[in-house]
Amino acid sequence: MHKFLSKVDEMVHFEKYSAHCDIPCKIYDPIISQIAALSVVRLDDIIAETEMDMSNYESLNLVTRCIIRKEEEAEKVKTEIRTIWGDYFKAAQFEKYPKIHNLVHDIMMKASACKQSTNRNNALELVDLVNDFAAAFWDTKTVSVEKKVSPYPPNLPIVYPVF
Amino acid sequence: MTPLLYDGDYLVVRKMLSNGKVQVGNIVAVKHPHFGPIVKAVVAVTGDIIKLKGLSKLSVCPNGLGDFKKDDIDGVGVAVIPIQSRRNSKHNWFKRLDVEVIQALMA
Repeated sequence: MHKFLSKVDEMVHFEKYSAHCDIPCKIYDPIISQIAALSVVRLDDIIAETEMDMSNYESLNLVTRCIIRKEEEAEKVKTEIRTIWGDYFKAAQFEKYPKIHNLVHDIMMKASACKQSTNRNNALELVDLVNDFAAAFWDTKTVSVEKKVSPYPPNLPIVYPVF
Repeated sequence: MTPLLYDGDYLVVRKMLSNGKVQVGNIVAVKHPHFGPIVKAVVAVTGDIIKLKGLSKLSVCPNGLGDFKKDDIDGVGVAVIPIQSRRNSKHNWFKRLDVEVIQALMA
């Protein structure tokens, strides 16, 4: 029967309806952006710790890789935050956090600044901003949070949900 | 909409008539302003207001989907034609939708 309908479908194109509302349904978590922000700090640290020697291909290779990864991680921060802000936050959450738009914009700007330089302070500020966003996100779900130092380098305070 | 519907299944629907009734446990096809064309289960009917929800625990809650009216319903599910890979015997090629069974899935 299904095979028969598939053939008919190919000809008449049945209207397609989704049996889900999002992919994945209702799963949003700022932890991806938080880890990405930490990675930006870590990559800045590795770059700073590397003794650059333009004639040494090993150090050149390492720093180049770090810059590429930093670019990717900063972009990941932007993508993840935009997704939660755009798909999860709705009227009720905006009402509770009217300043969330400014916070998201600040994160976009700071993540771009992290791409443009290897200044550690930019990356630290990015972590702080993303932590603020995570705290607001969990509060909209009435989940309390705690700030704990990440158990891996760069060992910075991160907002975690308490379940 | 698992465990009722899986990707690739065909849902046979009947048109919603103006004098037709909607009841809890109906599977309906609607066009959502944000999610687009979706299939959901009716979880509550209060006057003109119809609340919908997916059967999966991960589905968006009824308030997250918003309110619907009878006019919003494009079709009411009658049967499921499971995708080939989901058939575990030659007998379940057609599954009639039973309101009571759907209500049990929602519980």
